[in-house]
Amino acid sequence: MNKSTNYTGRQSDLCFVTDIDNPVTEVTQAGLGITGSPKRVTGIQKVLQRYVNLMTTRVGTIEFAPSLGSILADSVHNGTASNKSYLNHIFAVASADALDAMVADDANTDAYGEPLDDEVIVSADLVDIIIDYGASTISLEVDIANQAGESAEFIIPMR
Amino acid sequence: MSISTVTQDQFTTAETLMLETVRSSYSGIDTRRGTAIRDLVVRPSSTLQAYTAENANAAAGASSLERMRQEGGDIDVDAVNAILSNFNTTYKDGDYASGYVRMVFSSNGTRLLTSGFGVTANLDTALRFEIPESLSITADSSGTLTYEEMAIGGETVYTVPIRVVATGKGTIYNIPTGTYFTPDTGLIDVVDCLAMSSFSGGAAAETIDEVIARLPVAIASRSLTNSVSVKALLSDYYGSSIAAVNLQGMMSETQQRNKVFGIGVGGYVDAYIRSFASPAITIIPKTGTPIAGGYTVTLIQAESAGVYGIRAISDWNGVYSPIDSAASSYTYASTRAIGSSLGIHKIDDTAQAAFTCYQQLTVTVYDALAGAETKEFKLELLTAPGILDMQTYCDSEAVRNTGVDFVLKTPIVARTSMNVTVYLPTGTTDTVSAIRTRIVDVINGNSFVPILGLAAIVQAIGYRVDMGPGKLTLACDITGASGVSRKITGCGDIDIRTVTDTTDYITPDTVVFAADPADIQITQIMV
Repeated sequence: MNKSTNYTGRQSDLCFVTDIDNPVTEVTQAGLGITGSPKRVTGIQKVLQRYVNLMTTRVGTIEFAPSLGSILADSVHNGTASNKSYLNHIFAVASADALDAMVADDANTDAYGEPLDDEVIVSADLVDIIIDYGASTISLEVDIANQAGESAEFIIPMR
Repeated sequence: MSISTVTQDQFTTAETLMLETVRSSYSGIDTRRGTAIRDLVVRPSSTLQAYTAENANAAAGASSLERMRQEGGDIDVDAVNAILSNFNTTYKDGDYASGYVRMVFSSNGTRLLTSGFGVTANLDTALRFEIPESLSITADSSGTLTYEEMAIGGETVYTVPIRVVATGKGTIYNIPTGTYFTPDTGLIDVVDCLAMSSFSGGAAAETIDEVIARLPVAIASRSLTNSVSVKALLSDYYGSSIAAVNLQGMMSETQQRNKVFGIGVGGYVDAYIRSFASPAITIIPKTGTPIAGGYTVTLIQAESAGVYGIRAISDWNGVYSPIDSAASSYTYASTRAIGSSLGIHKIDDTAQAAFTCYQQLTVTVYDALAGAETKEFKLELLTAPGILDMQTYCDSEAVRNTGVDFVLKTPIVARTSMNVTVYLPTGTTDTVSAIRTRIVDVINGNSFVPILGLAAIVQAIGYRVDMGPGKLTLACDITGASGVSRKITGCGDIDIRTVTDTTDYITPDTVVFAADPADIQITQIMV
């Protein structure tokens, strides 16, 4: 995934997906957290960051925005998603919610301005569910695409 | 106040403002949902902004009585008191009515009534009264209360007066004499239970309008100089029951104490103090000394203070109220004299002493069956509470006006009654008792005014009223200093000016209207 460095005419965000600055050849692990040296982020990285943030935010945990987030984290952590098939279903629901919020804000140009094509998400697909039974971890490999035709594949560690 | 008091709407408003601010100042920052800026800057700032705005709003609301009035809703007593503390006064949140019920039993075994025992008015089961503390009733003197043995219709019954207190606040609990009650279950051999006399003391909590209306008095100077300052002074001393004050001084027609060779001079003030809403009743036991054809009862000066009439006289041990009892057949008359102690005041004749704490009453009770033995009577006196107490206060060195001879008086009371037919819509939850209370409140709100308007009363009733001949009567009875009664009866306004008599101290400046719930007769027709 190419890092965006052109900030002209863009609305940048603070980078908090920790490993964006350390791209791997195939996929980026999208852990959350402020890095030691905060950086600006735009383009598809920003799209990725917004998506991951919304997907991993537990719905009902943000006061005054109780519908924001998804049921993904809760479902994984409390064992509701007991198999890959059901996890697929949960992902579909959660991803749809995240996309709805992003699309709604992108369309609200009065409040947020006109987004550039490479900052508008058009799809998010689940590529694989990675379960390491030895380490008791679950990760989701996701591929997102923006309106500019770019795509990025990354891993969301869930547990 | 905490963050939890912030509403969703308040937050949304603050967040919208914050988003606009960030976007207008920093167009290169993305604040969409899911961004770090939204989570780390916009949302916390918006929450804080909403909280601050809520605090400011609450502070503004809590610092203005006018704003509380406009916003309506429940009264925050602490917030109102915080404002009123600036004016050296407090919110009046109402009082509980109390009075005595006479319970009649057919047996005289020991009875224990625990705290919480109560009685409920038969006519309005919402009116409940309870004993303030546990008590025992016994045949001998070992209990808190002792039975009185009576013979009624050939049957022996046992009676006892019990003090009860309303379970709620408000004038609606000032029930009239003779109201029948149903006691709580558990008592056996109960023959009757009824109010010995009208209950008093019940008062509703103030509205914000009433608080605002009385603030001019609250912030007035406290001195014996004008009506407002006298009311403020006495309200501070005697409490909230000072409803109205009117001073009669040098230029007043009813000021007789200042006449020198018929010419009024300064230095004398009669202060008419309304220290009651509904007519207040003081019940005292007095021993009647036999005379030809009856008894004579002499009240000492302290007992006579502020008395303006006698409501009823009955046997002290009588079972039933005077309304229902043969004891009500007593007739009586009272004479007034100047008391033996006038203190620092100049009072020249009986009329000048009338209604002050310097009058002394002697009551003659006419009873054709009177024997040679003394007899214990129950006197129900109509009086302005606290006149003696307040006069003593006004005469104290610290308060006394050194240039004026200042005497407090009970106002001339126009005892008002009403007979009205009201058409109540079927299904209404309103009650005759509540309508009666509203009528009484309107009447009792008229002090030192020339006219008691019928329109205000009809408006308070709130329903269609039959104004036809004989269907509505508004009447009042005014007794001046001479003891002569004047009656005004009609089906319209009552105008005090039609009976003005300055030599008898009756003018719009000295008269107040007062009604007891028992004086309001309502015929209800469901439509």
